[in-house]
Amino acid sequence: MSIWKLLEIELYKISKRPRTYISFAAISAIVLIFQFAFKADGENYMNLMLQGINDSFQLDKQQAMNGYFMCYIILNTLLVQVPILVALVAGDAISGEANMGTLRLLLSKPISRTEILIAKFLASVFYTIILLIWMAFFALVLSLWIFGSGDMLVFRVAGEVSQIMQIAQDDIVWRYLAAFGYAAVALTVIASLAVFLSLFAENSIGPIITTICIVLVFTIVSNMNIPVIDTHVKPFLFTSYLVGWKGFFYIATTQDGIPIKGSIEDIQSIQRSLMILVGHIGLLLLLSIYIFKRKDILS
Amino acid sequence: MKYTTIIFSTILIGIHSHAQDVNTLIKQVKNKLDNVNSYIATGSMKTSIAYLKIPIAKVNIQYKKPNDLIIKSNNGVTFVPKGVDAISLQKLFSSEFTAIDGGTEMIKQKKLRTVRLLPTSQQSNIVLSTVYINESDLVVEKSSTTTKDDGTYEMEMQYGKYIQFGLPDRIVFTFNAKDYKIPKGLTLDFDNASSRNQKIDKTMLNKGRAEIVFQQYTIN
Repeated sequence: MSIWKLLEIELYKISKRPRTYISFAAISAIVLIFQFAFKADGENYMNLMLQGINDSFQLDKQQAMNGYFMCYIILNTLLVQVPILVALVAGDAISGEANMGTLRLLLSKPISRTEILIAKFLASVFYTIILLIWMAFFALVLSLWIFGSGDMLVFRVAGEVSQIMQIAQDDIVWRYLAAFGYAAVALTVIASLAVFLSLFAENSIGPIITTICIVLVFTIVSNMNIPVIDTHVKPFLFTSYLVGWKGFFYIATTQDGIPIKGSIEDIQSIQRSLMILVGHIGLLLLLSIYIFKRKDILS
Repeated sequence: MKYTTIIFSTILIGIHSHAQDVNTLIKQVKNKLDNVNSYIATGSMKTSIAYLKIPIAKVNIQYKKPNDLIIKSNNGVTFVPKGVDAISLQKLFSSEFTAIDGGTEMIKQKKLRTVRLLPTSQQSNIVLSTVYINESDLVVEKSSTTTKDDGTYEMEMQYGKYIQFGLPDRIVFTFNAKDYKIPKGLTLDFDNASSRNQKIDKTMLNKGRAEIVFQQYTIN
């Protein structure tokens, strides 16, 4: 049996589980609530972000609050929670089979354990990508339809400095494509972790909760602004790199502060983050294969 | 005693005639500007302040006598500095003021007459304006205005093909702005690594500059 056939079977199994659709429903609900709230009272949010600016500049806030801006705000909030939704499905990969008693049956088939694990991993990745496409449709396409398009404002706090960057309308779409691509890699790390943890459990609750806990604890530590943690802890936490997608929206500028179309302020940082995330995926996958191949299914 | 009286009289007559010169000069400049009832201009505006990273905006500037000036963007979001309507000098000259001669100054190899304008009305937002007038072309080349509410702003004008209407081709508007600070929690930014690479001129945090280049005027 080819790995593609196995992947097809795994995707079929995922599609038949009700929990798969919880994530899609949750994302749709959160995005729609965001859009409704911003349509109804977005100006107050804009005023909050522009406090201080309002005294010195006039700005058409309605024009600034367009679909591109909305998508950025939604992703900024949602991409912290999506790992939980990914863990819901990926954490079930092996432990779900063990729970239902089908693991022994599956492993008694003339298929290698490596192939089975890779198929399960690929199915989780596929699910993650579909989830991101769903999110892109709701957060970007639907927001553009509701709020219209235009130049995008990016509010940023870099160290002690607050900044507003403006990206021209014709310079945005590729950034979103790149950001979603980056998010796919980042969420694949979560999927890998959940698949890895599911090797050690007989039911799916354990790996799902453990993955969520790891992500939460690491995220909290990643968000701490304590110098000793900045230098000695954060570089070793994969959650420090999950928000790297925002780097695609940090546009480089000339010395006069004029944004340069098609540019990224710190491409090396994004590349480094991507390498670290890919490294995590590789390491977790190899460890999972190693452990799965030696897993005792008789007892 | 006779000589003292003659000297004082000469000084007083001199001052009086000089003051008259300044008032005449201001009147001539004002008359030139008053020839324009309204205009629509197209151009570009480059706004610079440390915390804003924004592109050069294509703008439409509409003016209507006496004091209506609107700056609109042709496309995209535009940050228009508050007080930028002061680029309409008609507004400055439309209020009642006392003109004081400040002598002449060499600015960019041009000999300009310095005139200080003190508003006579207590309600005026302007505390003091200093204008530097090119006497041969009867145009204001530079001005500095201190206001009660909006701080101090300065303007430098360059004239070209619309000089006969007193309308500049390029204005550099320098203004005071408040510092901008948003909590990290609002942006969810925790990228301290990249913040180390941030090079911000802190002296520019409160000093803004808008450079408006006019491409074409449609004058009525």
